[in-house]
Amino acid sequence: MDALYRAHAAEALRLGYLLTGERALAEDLVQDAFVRVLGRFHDLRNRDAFWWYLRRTIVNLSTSYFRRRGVERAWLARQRPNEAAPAPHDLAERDRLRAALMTLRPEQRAAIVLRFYEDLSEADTAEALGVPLGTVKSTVSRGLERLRHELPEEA
Amino acid sequence: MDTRLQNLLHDLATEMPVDIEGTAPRTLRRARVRRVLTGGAGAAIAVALVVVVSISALRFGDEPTVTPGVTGPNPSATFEGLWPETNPEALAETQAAVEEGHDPLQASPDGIASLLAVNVLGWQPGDDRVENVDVRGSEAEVVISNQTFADTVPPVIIQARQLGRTGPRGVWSVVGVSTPLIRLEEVTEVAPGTIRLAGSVDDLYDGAPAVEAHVFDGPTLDPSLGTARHELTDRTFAFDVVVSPTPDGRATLLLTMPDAVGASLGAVMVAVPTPVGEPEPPEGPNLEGVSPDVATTAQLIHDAALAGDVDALAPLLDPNTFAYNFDDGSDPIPAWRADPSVLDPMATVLELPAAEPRTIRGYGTLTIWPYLIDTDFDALTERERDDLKALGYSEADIDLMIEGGNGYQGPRLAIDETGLWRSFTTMGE
Repeated sequence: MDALYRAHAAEALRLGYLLTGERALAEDLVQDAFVRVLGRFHDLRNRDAFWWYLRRTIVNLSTSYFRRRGVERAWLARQRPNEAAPAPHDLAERDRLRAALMTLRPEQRAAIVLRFYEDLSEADTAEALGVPLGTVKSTVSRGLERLRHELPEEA
Repeated sequence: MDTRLQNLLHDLATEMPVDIEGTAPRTLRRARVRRVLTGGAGAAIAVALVVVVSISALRFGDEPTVTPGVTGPNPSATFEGLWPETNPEALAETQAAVEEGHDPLQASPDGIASLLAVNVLGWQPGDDRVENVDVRGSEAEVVISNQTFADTVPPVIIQARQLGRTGPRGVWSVVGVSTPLIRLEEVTEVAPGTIRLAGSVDDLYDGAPAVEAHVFDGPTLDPSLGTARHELTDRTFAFDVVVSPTPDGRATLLLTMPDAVGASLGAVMVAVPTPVGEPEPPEGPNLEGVSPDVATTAQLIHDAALAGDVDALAPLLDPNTFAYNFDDGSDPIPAWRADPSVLDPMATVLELPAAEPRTIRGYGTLTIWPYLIDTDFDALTERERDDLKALGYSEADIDLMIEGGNGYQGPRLAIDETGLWRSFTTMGE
């Protein structure tokens, strides 16, 4: 267990951070994911694929978290239309990316991060997300379109 | 863009501080506790429970002809709320909660519309866009659309009403839902407990080849009073739904047209007649092969869970050792009190058979519900599939479990041989 944690914690935390945009939330989420996967490690059919299981758990937990949080936030945002977020052009490029990632839907963000940070193929991304290949293609395409809008090349 | 995005993502990821020495002890301690308590049952991957809710719609402005037929609606069933409150008692509870500062969304028409979109229509949070809100006294009409749908998909029209207290803190309840997408022209009780639905749809979208009917009575589609699905071969439909009795002879019908991923392209919601009678008595816990001490605790848990009585659960567990979801060795009662919906699967798992007791060093002999934790998902039987569905899983969820190769992903409950309740976890949240 200890060796598995040490081998994968850093990568897991970075993935969690890209998916959530919040350090504390990423730590909590990654801890929950490790607890779930390590707690059932002896049930895994392919123990060599620990990172695969862990990555999928992190993605699922983050998606679930944002789904639960989303309803109330969306409604509250509509009640406070004048509290605008900082304009993207006021931020450094890294900050603009973080802000842009957070404008994506959780499933879009997960697909983009798995494709371009984890460098998974579309088929592997589909497997990691548990969705059909076509869904990944359309999700990534829409996510990229949104990011291009938020992160223009000349920015 | 792709290379630039890759570089940016790797650059951004370095912002995450990594303190393995600091985080390892607590994480590993929790993992070891969970590993012991789950005793080899279950799997590693959290699969999000996908509540497949569907869609429907009425031609805006029209009302279906609801023909009472054989049984007829109970004249005393005058409460107009369709969702989430369907009786005055439920409304009073919600009103009290709102006045204590909870559930702020229920105190506004567009708030209740957003809740309906996510909890009934299956839309993602934030996908709904309020096109118009027309409030006239205690009546409101909210028009919402889904921003992710094609422009050709018409909006959903939600009629809301303050059925009790009026004014800024009065609770809004949904009293009708319609959309131009679906014309529900006839709702006829053709026999006691059988309702015929007939109408048409305005378009056959790709991936939406069916309409689905759900009859229910409360804030969630489950427990279901009846469901039916009609595959569309043309734009018309006519099919029957078998409906269970209700005490007031009335329930809520949701007719939907789901897209490929289960989100409702539109919906119609109306009241329908049901046979008058007490609902079928709830199942008791399945105590077959269970020792007397374990059976006593199981019965107490089941009764309290069905009654929604969190306080009655507290004496049955030791908060210093109890394991639940993300918090092992801590008191679950405050969390359950805040979210009593977790009590529903608690009762349901106990109604299924338990797995063979297993002895775990340091924890004694544990009886764990449901038996599905030992099921081979590569050779799933029809009964096992049915039991998974009873727990709320769809066919798609079950297929996902099979594909994942990790077996049962759902809630489980453990009691040791002394009758002490040791754990309740709802995996896959």
